[in-house]
Parts: sequence; C-alpha cells; structure tokens
Amino acid sequence: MSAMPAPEPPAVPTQDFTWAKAHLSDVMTAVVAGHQPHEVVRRGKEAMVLVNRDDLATALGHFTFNPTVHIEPDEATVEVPEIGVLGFGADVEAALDDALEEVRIYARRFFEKAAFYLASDRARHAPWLLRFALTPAGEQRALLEAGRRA
Amino acid sequence: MKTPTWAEVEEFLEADRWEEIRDTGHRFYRKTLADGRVLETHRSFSSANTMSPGRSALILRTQLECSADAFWEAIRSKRPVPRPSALPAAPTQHPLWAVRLLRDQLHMSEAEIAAMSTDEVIRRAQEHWTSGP
Repeated sequence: MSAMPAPEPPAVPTQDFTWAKAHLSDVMTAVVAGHQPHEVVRRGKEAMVLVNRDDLATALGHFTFNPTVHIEPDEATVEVPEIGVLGFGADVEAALDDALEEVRIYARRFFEKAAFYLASDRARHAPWLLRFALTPAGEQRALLEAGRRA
Repeated sequence: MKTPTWAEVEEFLEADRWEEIRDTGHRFYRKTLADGRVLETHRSFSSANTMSPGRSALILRTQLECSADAFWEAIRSKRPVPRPSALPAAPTQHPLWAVRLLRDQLHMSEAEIAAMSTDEVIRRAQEHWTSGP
C-alpha cells in the first residue's frame, strides 16, 4: 500500500492567529521588508492576508481609471465608468475636480460600509477604489486623469 | 427634449423612494433595487441649476437607471419607476486624456472639441503623439 502523499505546503506562509499575534513584529518584517504575503487564520475558519502596501498597489496597477467627458456650452460632465461616478462643472477641469471629490467620498464610504457594499453588485468597484485609496492624496488626481491611451 | 433642474431631480428621488443619506458631511441618495443592485447618486450644488440633454441622459443612464419618460412619469404620479426601464442613449463622450491633449497641446477650445466625433478626437490626439516634436 502506498503512503498518502504529503499535503502541498501553502503558497504563502500561513499562521494561526494566536501565534501571529505573539510574533506580530516578525510577521510584519517578513511582509513589509521581505515582501512576503502572510495568511493568518483564526479558529481554522476566518482568514486574512497581510500584504506590503506598495506590493498591493502594484498588484492593483492594471485597474486603471478611464474617465470620459461630455462637453456642452458652459457645461462639462466627467464620467468615471469603472465605478459609476459623475462629476459636474462649468468646464472640463471643474467637472474633473468634482469627480475627484466624489471618488474620494465614495472610497471613504465604501470602506466604512465595506460589508454592505461587498455584498452588493458594487463589490466589483472594490479593486478600483482600493487602488485609489492606497494612492497618496496628492497623486489621486493624476491617477484619475491618466487613463488608457487607446 | 425637456431636461430636469436639480430641484426636479430631487423631486424624482423622493417619488422613486430613494433614501437620503448624510454621511461624513456629504449628502447623497441610495436606492436598493428588487434584484439587490444598489444605485447611488448625488445632486450638484456647484453647477448651474439647469442641465443639457447630454448631462441629463448620463445621469439617467448611469445613476438613476431609467428613461426620460419614466423620470417625468414618476414625478407626475409620485410613484416609483417600474424597473428595468429602457435607458437613454449615451451622449457623445470623449476620453479625458484626449480632450486635454487637444486642448493643452493643440490649443483647441472645449467647444471645438465638443463638436468632433470621439473617433476624430482620438485620431487627432494619436496623430499629435506620433508626429513627434
């Protein structure tokens, strides 16, 4: 009779919650300095993944914003189609400013009420909003206006 | 086509049973549809009270999810819109990056850009790029 094969080790280090809590400094060093994601499991059921902030931002890099603009005399409307946000203004820059503020407010609201939004169809907005939220405030406008050069 | 004022948008939101939410100093509106989908919108206080047909169509299409007829009928009857509702056609929308390139580097006015097709806007922007300095 052949022996049962050994279980495959997990692709990322996985720790029990109690152990991780007692060794949080080591875990954080491995995640931040070592760029090694760690999964932490509590009671064998609940799990979370710790990831270096910059690595996560890089991983989300292909979730680009591609705003469009509708222009009328003395009026512009910017749409951020990935997350259903509209910005209104008298010209393109004013509409973009308004859209930027709306995205900031939506991102804050989304992660404050994450359980609500993630249980709805709006869960699909999460990667774009997370990327936006991880971007320094001074760089968020540039992120929004970069777009994809079709 | 008659376009709504922001006050009429608010009137619609009340008739269509949207929930007004004040959150972190910001006011917006939310409606959860029967199929569980969540709609959200806000009104603008920073722009003129009237709006163009294009802006109106964008709001109806992307946030209120109803036709112009259904919008006005909800206000008239003070009853919610039966959904799904036909959506208005999308107005002409240009990529923001191309609009800014034409405006800032080719010195075109926003009115000139607005009169162009989206294909033309993108073509002119790409031509400018590939023509080099």
